[in-house]
Amino acid sequence: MSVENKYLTDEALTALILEVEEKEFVSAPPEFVSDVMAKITKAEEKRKTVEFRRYCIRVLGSVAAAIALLFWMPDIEPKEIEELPSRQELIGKTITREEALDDRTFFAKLMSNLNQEMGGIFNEAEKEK
Amino acid sequence: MENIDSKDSFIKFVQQYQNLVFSICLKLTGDYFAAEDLAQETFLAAYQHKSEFDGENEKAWLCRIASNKCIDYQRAAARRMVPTLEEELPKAHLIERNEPLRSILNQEVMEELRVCCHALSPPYDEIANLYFLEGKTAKEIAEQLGANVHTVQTQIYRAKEKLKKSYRKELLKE
Repeated sequence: MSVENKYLTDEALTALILEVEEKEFVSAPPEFVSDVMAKITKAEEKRKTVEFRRYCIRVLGSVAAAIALLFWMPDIEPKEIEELPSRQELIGKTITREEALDDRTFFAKLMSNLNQEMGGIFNEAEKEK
Repeated sequence: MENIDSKDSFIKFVQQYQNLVFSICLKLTGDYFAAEDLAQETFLAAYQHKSEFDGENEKAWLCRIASNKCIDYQRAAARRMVPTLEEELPKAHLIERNEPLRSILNQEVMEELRVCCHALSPPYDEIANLYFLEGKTAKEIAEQLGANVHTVQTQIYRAKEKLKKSYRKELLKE
């Protein structure tokens, strides 16, 4: 067997497998399968523990950052904020009578225009009445 | 790789290739217990990296993992050795650059293990003989000897620890 670049070449590995299978095949220790499965289970549990700890660190880091922001954010002076309009001011703006009439006049004009475009359908309906 | 998607199918996969992987590890390391650990590590790595398998030749892929682990183990063992006199360096564990790997016969390794098992004090010699050489499980040994399974398991564990010490002393003597 030769070692190139630290590990066996493909040819050397194939030759090793053939040699072992033909001449030097021995039985694995008893309970080998159960030992392997126990090792796998242990490795899986360790991996899950590590992942959970990473998750906890991320959550704690986020909470710490949020708390830090609460204390470190610059203070905002109330005078710098423009005064907001009060509720009375907002609802105090009511439409005047003239404006309402204008609106109705506007609506009447709109219906008149529509009637003309449709060939006076509404006029005929009124005559029948 | 269809056959290791679930735990059950992976168990069948291990059963199919356990002897081959262990034999390869034993041949490359010459140490029964190191081969056992490396073979277990091989299947663990195969399970963890099953998504990287291209699906062509699972036997070659698995044996590639085993051989790479054995070579890494040999190099790490060589680095751990404290160089003293040349005669004291265990030749079986040295990998010289640009020299072929020492070919170790598995039968020689098993014979050395047999000698070490017989050298143990009772009752560990009988337990080691039944477990390591005859390949019986703890349950089968307990049934044969009429003993408690947990007792047998403890004895197997202690026999293993004693064997590791005496077995590695024998390897260093070579």
